Amino acid sequence: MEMEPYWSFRKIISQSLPFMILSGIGELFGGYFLSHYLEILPLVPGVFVLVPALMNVRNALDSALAARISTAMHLGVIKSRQNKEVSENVAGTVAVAIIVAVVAALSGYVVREAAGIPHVPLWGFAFISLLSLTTVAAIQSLFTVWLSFYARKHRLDPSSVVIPTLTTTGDVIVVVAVYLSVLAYLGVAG
Amino acid sequence: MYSAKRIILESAPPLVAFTFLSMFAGLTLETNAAFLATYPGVLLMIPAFIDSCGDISSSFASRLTTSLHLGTGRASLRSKRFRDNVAGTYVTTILFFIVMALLAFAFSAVLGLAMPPLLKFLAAVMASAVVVVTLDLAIAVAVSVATTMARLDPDNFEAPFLTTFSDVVGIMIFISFVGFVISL
Repeated sequence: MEMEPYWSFRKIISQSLPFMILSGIGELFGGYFLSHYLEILPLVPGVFVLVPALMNVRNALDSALAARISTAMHLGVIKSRQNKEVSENVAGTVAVAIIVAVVAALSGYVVREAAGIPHVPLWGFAFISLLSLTTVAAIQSLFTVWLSFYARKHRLDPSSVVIPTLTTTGDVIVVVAVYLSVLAYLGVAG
Repeated sequence: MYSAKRIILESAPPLVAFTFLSMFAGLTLETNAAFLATYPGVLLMIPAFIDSCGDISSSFASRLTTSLHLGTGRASLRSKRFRDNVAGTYVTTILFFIVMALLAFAFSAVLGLAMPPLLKFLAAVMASAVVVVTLDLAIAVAVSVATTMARLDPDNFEAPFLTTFSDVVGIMIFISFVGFVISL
């Protein structure tokens, strides 16, 4: 009997749907934390504008880091966690996060200012954006490295396992990190 | 093989551009804050909606580019492989968002968050998901054709375009559809 090709209609659904539903349930928790923003929104007008941008950036940074580590593992360049390639990757990811956090803060401020909508001062955008994105980038980078080595140890393909796991955990972590950064900002700003 | 400097130089420019575009998704959330305060349960669905539309269309694009790389398929409805890819993507979208809308509704009830009536919410989620995924698929095909003609690797362009588009336009369409259906 001829085997059904991996790209068939039925295979596409049977392979993607179960994992997507699991991932979607994880995303609902992110949504739950997002609903808490409504309580603090009047105290920090404009900050909501940062959330989708930081989620998008986090997704791109984590996926790229995981793809690079996976490629380097397949090529035999990375064999242990104490490796210059690993530290360069993590340092590069956190550095890009800092650059993008500054741009996100400036963009958020400019978009709100141009739209004539009330907003927190520029330093408030910068404080919340930098604190949340660099914290998330550091946590997720270390998690990515650990997960990649865990996957390899258990003979799983890091490309297939790491990126889907990161997209599920990442959105929840970003939403929580921005929320906590807002509380820290309110503490500093009085 | 890798250096922090190279990672910064290659990753930062596109991410900076996409970050600026994503601000408009955030602006949509802000300007609809009053509506979302009335139905905070709708917020439960937002991360799942934007992330999953991007995931579904990125998977479609990845299958498409793999078949183009291998020379085993074309971006044309005359190709069975392409038709299966399109049909599989739509059926996955419909089944997935039915499950997610029901789960979001159930979670909201458990958490005590106000939600629109179930049938209206379900209709708005389904309609907006189908519209966003249809636009994503059109972009995926256009990007794959354009990058192949320009002798570029489509894998480097598909996912960033699709996830950013799903973020920015996805939120706008989702909030608009939910608002419109509730007003009926």
